[in-house]
Amino acid sequence: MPNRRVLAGFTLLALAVPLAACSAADPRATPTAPVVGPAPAATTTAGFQPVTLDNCGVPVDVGAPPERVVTIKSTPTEMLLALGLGERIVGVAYQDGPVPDEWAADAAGLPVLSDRVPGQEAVLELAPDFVYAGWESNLSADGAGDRAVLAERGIGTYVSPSACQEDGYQPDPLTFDDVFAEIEEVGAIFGVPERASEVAESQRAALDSIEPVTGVSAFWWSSGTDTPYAGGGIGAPNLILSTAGMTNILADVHETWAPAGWEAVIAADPSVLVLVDASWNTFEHKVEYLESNPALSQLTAVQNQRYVRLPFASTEAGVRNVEAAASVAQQVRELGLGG
Amino acid sequence: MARDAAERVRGVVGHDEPAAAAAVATGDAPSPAPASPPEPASSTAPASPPRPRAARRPPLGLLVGVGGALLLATLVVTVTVGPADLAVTEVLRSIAGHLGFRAAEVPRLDDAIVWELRLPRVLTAAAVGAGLAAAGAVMQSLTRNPLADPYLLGLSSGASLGAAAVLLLGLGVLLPVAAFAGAVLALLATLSLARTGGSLTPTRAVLAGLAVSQLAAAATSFVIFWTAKGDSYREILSWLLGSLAGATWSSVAIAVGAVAVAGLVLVFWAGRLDAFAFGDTAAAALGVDPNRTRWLLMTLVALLTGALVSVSGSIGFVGLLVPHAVSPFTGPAHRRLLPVAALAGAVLLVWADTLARTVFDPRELPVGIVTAMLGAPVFAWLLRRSRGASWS
Amino acid sequence: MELTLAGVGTRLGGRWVVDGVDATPPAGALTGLLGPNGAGKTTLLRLVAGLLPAEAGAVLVSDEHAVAGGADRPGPAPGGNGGRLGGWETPLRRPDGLETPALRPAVPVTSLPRRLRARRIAMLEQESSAAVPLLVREVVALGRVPYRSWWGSDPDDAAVARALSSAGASHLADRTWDSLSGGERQRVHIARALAQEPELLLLDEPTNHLDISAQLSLLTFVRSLGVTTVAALHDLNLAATFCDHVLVLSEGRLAAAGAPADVLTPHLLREVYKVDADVLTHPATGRPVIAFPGDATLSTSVPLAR
Repeated sequence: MPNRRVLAGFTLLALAVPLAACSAADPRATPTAPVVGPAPAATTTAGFQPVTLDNCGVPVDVGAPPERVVTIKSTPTEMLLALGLGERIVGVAYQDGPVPDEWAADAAGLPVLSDRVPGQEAVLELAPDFVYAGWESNLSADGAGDRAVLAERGIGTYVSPSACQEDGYQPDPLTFDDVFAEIEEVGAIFGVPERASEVAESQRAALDSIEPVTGVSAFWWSSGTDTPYAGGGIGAPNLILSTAGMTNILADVHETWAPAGWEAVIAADPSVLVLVDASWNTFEHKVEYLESNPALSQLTAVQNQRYVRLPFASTEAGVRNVEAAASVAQQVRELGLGG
Repeated sequence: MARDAAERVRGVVGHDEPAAAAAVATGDAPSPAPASPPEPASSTAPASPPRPRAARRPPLGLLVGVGGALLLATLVVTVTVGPADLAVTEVLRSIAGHLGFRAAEVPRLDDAIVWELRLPRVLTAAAVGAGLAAAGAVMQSLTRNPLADPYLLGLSSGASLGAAAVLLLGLGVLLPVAAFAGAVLALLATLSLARTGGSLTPTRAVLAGLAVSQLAAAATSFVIFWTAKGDSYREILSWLLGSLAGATWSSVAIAVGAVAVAGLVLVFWAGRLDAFAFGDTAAAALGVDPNRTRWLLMTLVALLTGALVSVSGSIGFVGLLVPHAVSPFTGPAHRRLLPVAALAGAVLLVWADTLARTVFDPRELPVGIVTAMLGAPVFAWLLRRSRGASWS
Repeated sequence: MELTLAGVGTRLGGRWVVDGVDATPPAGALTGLLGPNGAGKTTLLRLVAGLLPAEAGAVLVSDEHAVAGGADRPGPAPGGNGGRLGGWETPLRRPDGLETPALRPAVPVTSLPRRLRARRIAMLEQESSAAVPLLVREVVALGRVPYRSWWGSDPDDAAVARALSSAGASHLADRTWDSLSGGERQRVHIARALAQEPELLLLDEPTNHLDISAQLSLLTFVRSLGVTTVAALHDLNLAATFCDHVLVLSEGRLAAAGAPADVLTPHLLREVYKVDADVLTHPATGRPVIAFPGDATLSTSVPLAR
């Protein structure tokens, strides 16, 4: 028994550490963060406006646009690629899947630092000046490094704001305004505000052109098997679903993602099942489980094979959410639903 | 002549002679008057006075009857409870229909919920709870350690390692097999570490089990942190904490089968376990082979626990607590303790699992969390109650 | 029960802890097993109980109640003397090559099936501590384990009650084990042994933890049972007072055997116990009384450091 508790405690601790690191009361956080980035003389963009912002409770001060960025997880990598900043990436880590085709060429040359969360030394070896992470937990002492410690070394850090866990920072609920705000913020940090505005504009246009479906309910299954880890009411999954015009059967659950019980799913009998395709829990695995389970195979959606498929990287807040929402709506229509 | 002597012993034992009794007066107290039956004038008795208790414990038939009725009631009630709002009549109709009785048609999905989700789940919970409680009681007696539980021999750690490995390799379908294999390998490692020239002492068994547990836990942690991608750690965590969410009719078969087989063996060996109360030498003097008994029973417990863990993950506290909760009513005699503990464990786990799947509807907790939350305060209460007991 | 120790010996960790002990404790009497600490008394008792196998020689017990094949039987056969079956009448060869004479029909104690052995021989150890909160009644019921059927049917409550009352412990029946004093626990242990209805009683230092009156009454009681009893004792005067026969062990070997008056001599005490003492005679009983001078130092004894 002690070993199980140690393990559970360890896991919880590993998740809690970044929270502690991010708390404003962290004594090691300097009141004014050191100015990061290379010396002003090396600016590549004329007229760069220094940026000061509060990112998940940690002050970030950027004096010059970062030139050597390490990205952790897919959404930061894709964000930078969308902003045309691919050459500034010196290493990518913990990617969730392949990048979309339009950026495949740019992404091909990106050095892969690690398949999982990299360690501090591996990151420092690349001599970065900025680390852009998709999850708060990536920037912990046993991950890429504690944010304050990296800042002292002159390395700026930034976590995707939608991934902040703390009250007041976690978007509740996540909206596309939050997503687009991140694009603008990143643009400001990297000294490419006009490009960011362009990207945001085109995303807004694409968003407006989505025709929502009607009368369709959905269950969003991200991972887990016996106890599915499902999209709750306030995160990216719900945003995507509601943008596509669908009703999330877990819309009342006040979490971004939550472990659900299959019985509740069967009771709700959703019209479609959104199955996230991740390398650790594939679309095929999910379908196979559904169809071979004596209870779940009775679901209307399973009997009629009404599955919607989304790649994992597009399901966390980032530049692919609009495309994901559009894809969902389209797939639903292809299934003959939604009007 | 020996027979005469033996008869004389029985003769002496058989007579309730005040004279004989008075001749062996209480050691440390003033001798009572010879003619009267000796009264407990133990002025030097320790601080706690004799605990007031009923002269006899409840008879076994009563305990088993009450326990059985409670379990049946629990099963019936909990199968009607769940996130899906199903009427009780509908639930009963669904079950009746599957059992071959003529019953009105039940909507396909509701029927699936009752027959494929809830019923296998409560039955598995009952079997796992019963098995863990009985295994815990046996381990506590074999190691003469009130803190023993079924996982003492490194079983749950070994099973966790097997489970983590297949879960992370994406071979989830092999989970029960891998978990069982892991448990058995851990047992073999523990027993070979613990044996000294063929004999298996309780202390060495406990220590060896600890060593194997720590090793397997470290390996499991390594596997998780090395290979876990995305949020797949949640699946393993759920298993490590124990979860009945994936229970199917084959889980029921495995769990019930394992408990039935183990129960059958324990029926024959329960009496032998009693002899261990005063240690190995006393057990041998009472006609029990302590070494062989310990080997056989530990292996039995390991196989039972391995089977249970393979369907439910490592659910804690049940094996540790239920024997202690039950023994004030049954006494330490294993032929009473084991069946009542099994029934109590079954009832406990079914309720714990029901809480786990309904309290945060539509979300679900791993049942191991609920048993821990229930278990810790109960343990504290038990400790407070047994002021005079041998744990001091 | 007829008990014979025929050149019995065993090694523990390479050393002969008991070495070639020949003795015939008289049946139905109390035999004292004496010797300094480490002489091998506990080990010898375990050999007699059949809990340890003898590496040399054997412990032989009379076979009256065993049937061919040694199957279990509930207690002594009613009526008649059991047949003399399975006897061992060939001489025993000892490690030193000498032969002991042909013995009366008897079997090695280790050849008896365990449960049968437990019904005939009861042993009380020196140290015992229970790990569970048992009631006294339940402790005594353990003595009925050898008689229980496979499922452990209800312990024979009548036998338990009888054992308790004859040990004078009936008033303790519903107490918990942990609440008992040392003397009370010893009493309950005796009751447990009696519940086994043994023909041979083996006691390892039964008078520990008891005050003098309890020591005297315990040994009086044990004698009155009339069961063949071998008791390891450290108190020489108690042995002298109560034992019909004493065996004195010294470093695993039998130093002397016989009636206390014959065995407990100042010479023996000096050789085995390394003390100087006088042996007097009790005016009323005629039994030896060992008197120790106040300052018992001897040239061969090891003085205690100041």
